[in-house]
Amino acid sequence: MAAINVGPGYGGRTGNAAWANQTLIALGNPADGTGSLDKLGTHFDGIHADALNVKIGTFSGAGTDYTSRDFETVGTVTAGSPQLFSGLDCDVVTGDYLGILWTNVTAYIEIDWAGQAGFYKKNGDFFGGGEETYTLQADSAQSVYGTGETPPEEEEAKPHPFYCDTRPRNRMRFHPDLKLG
Amino acid sequence: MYVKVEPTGCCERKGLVQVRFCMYLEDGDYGYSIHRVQVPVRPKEGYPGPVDALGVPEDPDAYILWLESLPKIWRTNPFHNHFIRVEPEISDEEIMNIGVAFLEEAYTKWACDQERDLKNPAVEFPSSFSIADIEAKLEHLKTANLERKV
Repeated sequence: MAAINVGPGYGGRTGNAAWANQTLIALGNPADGTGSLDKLGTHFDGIHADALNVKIGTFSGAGTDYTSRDFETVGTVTAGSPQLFSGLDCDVVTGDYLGILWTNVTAYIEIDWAGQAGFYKKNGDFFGGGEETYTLQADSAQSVYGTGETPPEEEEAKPHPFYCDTRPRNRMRFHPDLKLG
Repeated sequence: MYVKVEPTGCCERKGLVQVRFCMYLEDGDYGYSIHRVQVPVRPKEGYPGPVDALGVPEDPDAYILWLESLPKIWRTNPFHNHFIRVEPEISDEEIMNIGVAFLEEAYTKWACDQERDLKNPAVEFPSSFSIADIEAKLEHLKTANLERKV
């Protein structure tokens, strides 16, 4: 299994922003594998309120148009320190982006306003929905991150240790890898 | 340290009950101060200044000044959160037994500065399920105040 990671990171940043009730899709660090995200992280600024009804999930797309692939209902996220959530099962495909949403305007997510990949935003909850067109917030990045794993590859069927040779002489042969004695 | 069920993170997920555990450190536990934060006590009536149609304060600087003027309290945030998915018939005791097991694993890794890579056992999601049973369980979890101290 290979590790997957997606999103710009969930530590503290230099600023914060009140983007409540908006679906925010981070462009930084698109997913580098296909499988499932089992850990998600985010960070809301401590001088502001806890974030309510938080959803985090994956989006596919390019340009201004993105479609929700899968998401997790995280619930209330306490403000003031980075919060990590494990035990999740969010589908992800290589190239997907990570999105986040919360519902109260009193919560502010940690954000860097410059030197970042940017994110797309749209007023409303589009987790679990179809393709939507978003607006770019350039150079910025919010605190959101996910990690997971690609599923294990199926093992190749191993040859039976011996087989019956059906050639005319009907001689039993052993697989060259079989160790005898 | 202790673990609590956080009802806001509990929901139906792929035909099972999703349960969220919040894990907390106590004074004396390793790294206690990391998630010990000071937060303002917000009045019930909220911010008294002008806000836009979405409820966002129109003057960000004035809003910050107001927040900074509020009394502060110390609060302990979770040092980790973990989700499980279970059938609605599970008992509260079984839920908290699972919570304690994950709390101990999370703290062991936390105290060793290791990645808190908690894994759930493989779950078979049901092909059919009773939404009524799941919703009943979720309603119960809202008021059960499940918590266990270790």
